[in-house]
Amino acid sequence: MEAIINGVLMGGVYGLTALGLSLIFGVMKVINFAHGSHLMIMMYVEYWLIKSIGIDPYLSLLIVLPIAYTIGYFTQAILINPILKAEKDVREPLGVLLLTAGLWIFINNLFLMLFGANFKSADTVYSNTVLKINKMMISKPLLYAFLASLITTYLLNWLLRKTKLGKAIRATGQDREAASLMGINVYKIYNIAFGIGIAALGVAGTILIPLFYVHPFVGDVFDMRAFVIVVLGGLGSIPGALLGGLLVGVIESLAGHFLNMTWAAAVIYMIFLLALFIKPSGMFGFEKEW
Amino acid sequence: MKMLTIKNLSKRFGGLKAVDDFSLELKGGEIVGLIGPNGAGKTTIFNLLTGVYQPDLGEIVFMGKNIKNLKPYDICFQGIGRTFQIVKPFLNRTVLYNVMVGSFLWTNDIKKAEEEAIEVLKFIGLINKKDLLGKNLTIPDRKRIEIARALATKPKLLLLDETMSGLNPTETEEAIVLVRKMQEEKKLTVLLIEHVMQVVMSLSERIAVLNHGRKIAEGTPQEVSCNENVIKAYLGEEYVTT
Amino acid sequence: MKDNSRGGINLVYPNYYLPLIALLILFCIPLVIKSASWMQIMVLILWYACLTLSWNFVGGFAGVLPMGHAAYAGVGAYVSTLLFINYGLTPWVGMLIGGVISVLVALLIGIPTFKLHGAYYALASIAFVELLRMVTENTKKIFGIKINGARGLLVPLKGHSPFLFQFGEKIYYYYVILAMMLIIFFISYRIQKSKLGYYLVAGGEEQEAAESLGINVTKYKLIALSISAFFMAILGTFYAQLILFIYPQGIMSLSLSFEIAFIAIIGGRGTLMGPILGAFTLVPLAELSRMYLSGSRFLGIHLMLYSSIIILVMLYMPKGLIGAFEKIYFSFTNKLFKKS
Repeated sequence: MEAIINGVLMGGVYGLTALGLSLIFGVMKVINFAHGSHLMIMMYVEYWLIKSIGIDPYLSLLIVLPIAYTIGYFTQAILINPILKAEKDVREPLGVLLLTAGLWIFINNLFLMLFGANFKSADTVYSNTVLKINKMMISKPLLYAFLASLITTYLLNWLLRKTKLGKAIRATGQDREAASLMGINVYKIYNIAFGIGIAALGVAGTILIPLFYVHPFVGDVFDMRAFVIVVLGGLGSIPGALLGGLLVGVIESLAGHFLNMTWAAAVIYMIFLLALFIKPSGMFGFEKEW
Repeated sequence: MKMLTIKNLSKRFGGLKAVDDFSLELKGGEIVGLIGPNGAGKTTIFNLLTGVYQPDLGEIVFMGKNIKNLKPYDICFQGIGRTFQIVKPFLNRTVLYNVMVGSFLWTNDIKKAEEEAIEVLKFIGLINKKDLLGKNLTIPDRKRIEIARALATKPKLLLLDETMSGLNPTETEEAIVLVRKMQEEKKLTVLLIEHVMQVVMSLSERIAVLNHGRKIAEGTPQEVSCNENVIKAYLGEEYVTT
Repeated sequence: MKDNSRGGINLVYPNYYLPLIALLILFCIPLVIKSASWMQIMVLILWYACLTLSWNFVGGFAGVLPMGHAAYAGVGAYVSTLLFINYGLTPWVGMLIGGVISVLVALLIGIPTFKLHGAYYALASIAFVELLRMVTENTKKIFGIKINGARGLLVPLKGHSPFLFQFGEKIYYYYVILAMMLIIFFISYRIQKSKLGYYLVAGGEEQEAAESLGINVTKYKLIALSISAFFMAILGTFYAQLILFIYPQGIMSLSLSFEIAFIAIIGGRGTLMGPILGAFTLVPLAELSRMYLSGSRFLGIHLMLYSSIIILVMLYMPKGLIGAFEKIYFSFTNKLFKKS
């Protein structure tokens, strides 16, 4: 039972990490292989903020979010957009895929080189506190993280559905040419969407600090989970990402409870492959022809 | 000789009936036109004929064989070739390469495939451009490669999907001559989808008119152009007439 | 002498002189280089060249992007090594059995994955290789045969025994891998100029159009995959016999898969000489940097190298190094032959 609750909570966080990926994929049809690396960067940023000015993670979001957004914006603008433009007529922009794959490996190993492989951790006021309900121990940071994930998901969903910017983003995702004919600067929207996606990661990175060690490859675990979630939940669907996250979290937790942790990871991958074979567009995603 | 018999063909996409109870017969050696307003379902019929979609209802019999459930590559092997509305040449390869892909259907030998491809290119009149890359060709030439490629597979029935759109008067005349040549010299049967009325009227021996997935008229060009339903369906639309 | 620098760059490989000269040099290298560590590097360069050439069947000719290809090398390495350890079967034969099993695995995973579009296919191939690695790492025994999980398998030392695919000196390994490279290269060359090659290109570029021309695209992709998987397995066995130790993170890893894909693409995807060029330029760089920059911080230096170059290549030279190389080469040979 405890496993299920932990699974749900962790799943919420997974869902949060997948939000950005889902958004980016839904709008630009780009799979950002470097998603995990961006998460890792955000965690390092957060780590330094805590170490240097000792600020509470949630408060630091005020600083982190703009940083995250900027990183995302410029990653898209400088690295990805040029290739998208060059491959405009090709049905499957594989060049971008390779670029993000390269980016993933590069950033991970760059951080390895610059900062070493040591696991770092930053302590916060509530790092190791737990909540006792009945006979179950629930980690407080995890609970907070879950709440933060829910809130962020809700905000992001609101942004996409109710604001003008959100509508522009969705329009671009559905039909790029129609959108540009309506006066939307498609590439700018891409930049913004990517920025938002990474900002979501910024939140994720912040709330994960009390829970995980920071090291150059911490992002990879989340990366693969995020891909699984995006496929399960459907590309471009924000609620789908959250639900997919919950599903993955619960499955992983249960599998980890009954088998061991590494088998749990293998189970996730197997489900991933099955999901890809059976329904590539996910539970809630758009049936895209691309 | 009955070449193609389409009976009661129907196809739905979600709630939309794209093709509704469509029937048509083609005899060997005929040129038949398929016209109708945009979205009438013409390309869907082509896709149903070539195995890209599976029909919900109806029968498709080609040369005595039921081809309803065959895959596109099997249908090509049976003898139906097609071009696409949005041309899809192999952009990074030469014209010769493009056509050789087609001629490999009937041979495993690269020399033979090359010879056959050159024959087709001579027939179509593209032989001088055989070493140009697909992406460096003009649109009319790309359309001709589509036809050449399909011809290389030695079809008995050729489905042409709006091959004449976007051509200037001279190019259109040349295209009309080419289709006639294919009918006479290659003994091909042709079913063509067209919006360019001049082409359809002058080439087709018979025309079927489609609207909202249903056949609303069939007959000679004269009969069809006087048909009330046809005129109603087309009212308000403009064509590239030259 | 053909001037092939315009058009059809993907098909052409530089005319006969350069490859022949290069081949001659390659044959003579062991006579010149005596240091064991340099020979090791040469062997590895050729090994990577073979890996990328094998990858090229699927990633280049067939137009898909397999990012988990090391899985097949891992299968080959493990099959031949397990057969050797447990049944004394010489790896020469074990290699072929590994190849066959690898093909079966490839078909098993290929049939469902080829239905997927580009990015999904890449994801699936990544998931597969990781799954394979994790399962292997977690398995101590299968049907009573020890697999040792993450600790890997040691190939029993037999000293210099050619029949058991073990050699005392690197020079033997060098000629074996050189021969392998020539074989794989030759097969690539023949395929490129054959119906299979044309059909793969067609199916990779425009699947719908290809199918309308009678091409069963999936069937041909599977053929390419089978050929590729077979050679990958053989190369896996070679590695096992060279290093005499295999473990999941080394031979069936995501990072090796990425290395192969990156090198092949940097060199020139879908071309004949591209992968070889990629291996010959990148692997020495990587090995050198590994020699001079050691320490745990620099474990990933070769990966940084490959990934930074692939980023640059994707942005500025999508056709790979081979494009620029051919231009330089042809302008050089044109000048040379203009004089006479």
